[in-house]
Parts: sequence; structure tokens; C-alpha cells
Amino acid sequence: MSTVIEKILQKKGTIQDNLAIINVDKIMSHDTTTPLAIDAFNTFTNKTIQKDKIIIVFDHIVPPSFPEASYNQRQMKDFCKKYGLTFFEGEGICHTLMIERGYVQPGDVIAGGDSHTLVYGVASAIGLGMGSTDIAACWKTGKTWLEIPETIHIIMKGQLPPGVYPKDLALRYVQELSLSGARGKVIEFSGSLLESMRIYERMPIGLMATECSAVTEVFWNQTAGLIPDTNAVYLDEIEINANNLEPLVALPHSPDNVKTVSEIEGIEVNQVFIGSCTNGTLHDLEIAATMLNNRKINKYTRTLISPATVQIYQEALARGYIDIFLQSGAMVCMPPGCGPCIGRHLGVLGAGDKCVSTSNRNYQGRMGSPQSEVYLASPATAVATALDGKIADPRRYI
Amino acid sequence: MPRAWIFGNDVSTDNIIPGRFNISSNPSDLLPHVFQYFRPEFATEVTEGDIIIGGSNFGCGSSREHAAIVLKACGITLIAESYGWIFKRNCINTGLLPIESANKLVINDGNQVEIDMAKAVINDITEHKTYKLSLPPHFIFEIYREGGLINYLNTNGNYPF
Repeated sequence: MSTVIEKILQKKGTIQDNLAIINVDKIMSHDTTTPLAIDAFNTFTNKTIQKDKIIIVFDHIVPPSFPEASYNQRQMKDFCKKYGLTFFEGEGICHTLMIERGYVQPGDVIAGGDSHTLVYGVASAIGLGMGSTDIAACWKTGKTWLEIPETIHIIMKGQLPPGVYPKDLALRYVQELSLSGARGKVIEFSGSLLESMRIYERMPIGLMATECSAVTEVFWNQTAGLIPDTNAVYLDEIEINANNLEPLVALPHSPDNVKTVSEIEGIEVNQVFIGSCTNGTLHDLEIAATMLNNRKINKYTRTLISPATVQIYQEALARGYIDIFLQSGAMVCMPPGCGPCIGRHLGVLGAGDKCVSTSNRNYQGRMGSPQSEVYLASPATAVATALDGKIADPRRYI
Repeated sequence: MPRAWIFGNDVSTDNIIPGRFNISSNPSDLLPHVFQYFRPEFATEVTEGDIIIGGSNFGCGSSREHAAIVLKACGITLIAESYGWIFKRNCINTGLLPIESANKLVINDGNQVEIDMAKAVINDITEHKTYKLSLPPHFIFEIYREGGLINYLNTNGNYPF
């Protein structure tokens, strides 16, 4: 009578009362959470380390845009060299890279020093986002602890109408659950619509569970035996039918402040960003390239397109997408990283700026000035907006 | 007598300490910036032993530990209706006990309050009321008693099972 998350925890750990001590398969951290983890690790009296489980990804400030970041990254490399750890620099955004390189397998448990680590649920693994001390403890013990959470079940059915994409599904359920709707809970996703979706297409859906304050999320997977027992207990069940879904936008300053594009069409924007771990895959670039082919973006709308990994960039190059982007007047941002999404570098917003972004968060000041505004949308809505210079319905361009 | 600092729902880690001050993790560098934009008088007026009473989802937001580190450095006791999941872990790991209130606390900001851990209650001295607290389970209490997760693992070598 177990849910999918309970099944994975039972297999990977020991449970007493409501406490699970779990063996983690991989431990991921990036260039802004690793330095504190190193400090914490160095205070262990016995510095045994689970070397083969550790992956460190430099993606948040790559290449460094200020001196302290460069200093930190050198310290991190010294640490990786000392203990023989796997690290990637400028090869991709951590979550996309972890999936692309096969570090995430169904039924795995992955600890990650990043609040969006739960996205590994799209590959039917458990991703646990945590702070640096937890990461240091994982490095040492290869384990972590978890109080068994309650689970919400979201079922997605129907077919996505033209111009409507997985990001719209994500915004739809975030609107339904609200920012605290899954606080302390797990979300399990299932349904005919999701079963037919590739892992990369699922990314915005899994990833935005963070914005509902979920502990983690996981997609059911029949092939891997990751389906619940018939009498498994779910706290709540939400069904979303895609058939009547429209393109959606999350307005400032909250991912659950969701309206249909048709309700807010016409708002002028001066930046469009297509990328991030949420919508920076080849699937997303394909949507953008199809729409931008033989078209010019609005001259007054700065448009940034950032493939999420180097492999995605290379494939986009081979397929001619990058050429289409450059012909259309967009800027292609390399190396891949988190810069624009977190307002760190490459397209930082100023006071009064308005940006349509395919990323995951639009909290006040997320992409720069506290006086700027971020509107979250699908790559298709972002492209339509770049073409018109104002928030636009993608269905006119497909 | 400790004073109550009352906060609402969904206080984020960025409210506790704005992200741009997180370049250092040294408590003395962080302390002047605690609640800098959200509650500017807090940093100068908070006294060791004071009690922060948050609403639901206290500490939502990023996984950065600075929010927990800076609150620990204030010497406050922390109570909330509920916590952001990562922040709650970060508190435990840095040796700050995230106490939960069993029900909504109707205590006014600035009231004199005291906590009785043995009885698991908070007394509102100003208004003569008592509220029940729910203390964390044994395992979490043990980590707190050791002063955080690193000390716990240094003492015990590993997790209990």
C-alpha cells in the first residue's frame, strides 16, 4: 500500500517510525552552494569522502563575473583535485547536464545543493534539494535523512492544443496549488498525457513543483515498476485536462499569479529570455527555431536564447537552429549557465524593465532590479512576444 | 524578559537576509543585514533570548544557509506555524531548533513571552495566555543538542541506522 516515493525510500533506505535514512546515488552541488559545503566538510574530524557519488557543476557564475566568484571557483577546483572528484565547468546547467550525462536513473535518489534538484522526478528519480551542510554530510556518509512526507497526486490527461506546451501545464498546476500548496509534501505525476512525453519535455512540469514548496516530485514509470500499490494513500488528487488549456503567463511577482495570454496580450516588454533548466532543451529550441525561421524579432526587444548544455548547443548548431536565431536578430548566450535566470550576468534587468522569460521564478528582483518585472511563459509565447515586442499569443505564429 | 517578534506567512530566506549579502557566511558579516529591507529595526533592536514567531511557510525560498546562520547568530528562539522544507533542515543543521506551534499563535508584536520547553508551551506574559508547541522528533532534537549536523556526525560517526 505504498506510493511511488514510499517505494523508492523503502528500497533505498531504512525507515523507523516516520524517519528514513536513505542511501543517495549521486550528490550534486554547484558553484554557489559548494564553497559552504567545503567549509562544512573541512570541520569533520574524519574526512572520509564518497568520491564516486559526487558531481560538482560550475553553472551559476560561468565564466566568473566578479573576483570573489573566480576565487571561489579556484578553491573548488583545488578541492576536486585533492579528492579526485568529477566536475564540469561551462558544459551545462547542472540539472539538464545531470540528466543528459545519464547520472539520473529511475528509482535513484539524488541529493542536490540547489532548490530545483527535485526536477530529477521527470526521470522517475527522487531529487532532494538541500543546503550546503546537508551536502557535506552526504559527501561524508553517502546518506541523508528524510521524514516521510504526504503525497499529492496530479493527473494530466488529454492532448495539448496547438500553441500550448508543457510550460503551460506547469503554470496551470502552480496556479491551482499556489506557492505553499505542496509545502512539506511530495507531488506524484501521472496520466496518459505525461506518459507520452519525453523526459526533456517534462522538465518545466517537474521543476516548478519547487514553486509550490514541494519537498520533491516524481513521475510514475510503468516500465521501471514505479507505480503505486492500488490502495496507496494520497492526500489529494488533482486532474488537469489539457484539451481546453490556453497559453498561460505568470505575472509579476509570483509564479502562481497566472493568467491566459489572451487576458494580458499587448503589454510591452524590452527583453525576452529563452533558456534555463526549465526551458533550455533541444525540444524548446526546436519550438523557437520553427517560429523564428524567416522572421525578424522586434528591434526594440533584446532577445536572449541560451541552450542549457553544450551538447544541446552543438545539436542546435547542426540542425541550423543557431543560424535561424542569429538571422532573426536574437543573441545566443554561451557558455550555458544560470546567469540571466538569477539576474547575475548576461541580461540583468534594470528599473522599469519588463521581461518575458521561460525560466521558473519571477519573484521581485529575481532577474535584476527590484523595480523590474518578469513574466513567465512557454518558449512559444516568448518567441511570439519577441516578434511583436509585446506579450503575444503564440497561436498566431504557428 | 524575552520579547516576541511577530512575522506573517511566507517570510522568505531573501526577506531574512537579502541574497546580495550572502557572499560571506561569517555570522558577524551577516548580522548587520538581518531583515535589512523587510524589518529594518530588527538588527539593532533584537536582544539575545528574544523569540521570533512566524506564520506558515517561514523560510521559504532558496537553499542558501545564510538565513539560518544569521538567525542562529541573533541568539533568538524560533517558532512558526510551519517552515520551508530546506530552511527547516538548514536550521537543524546549523543548530537552530525550528519549533512548530500546534495552532495559530495570537500574540502581539512586542509582547513579553517565555517558553517552557519541559511543558512544550509558550506563555504570553503580557496577555496571560498559553499556547501549545510541538517539539521536533527525537532524532532532530539530538542533532540540535549537538549543535548541528557536523557536530552530530563528528560525535556519532554516522546516522543512527
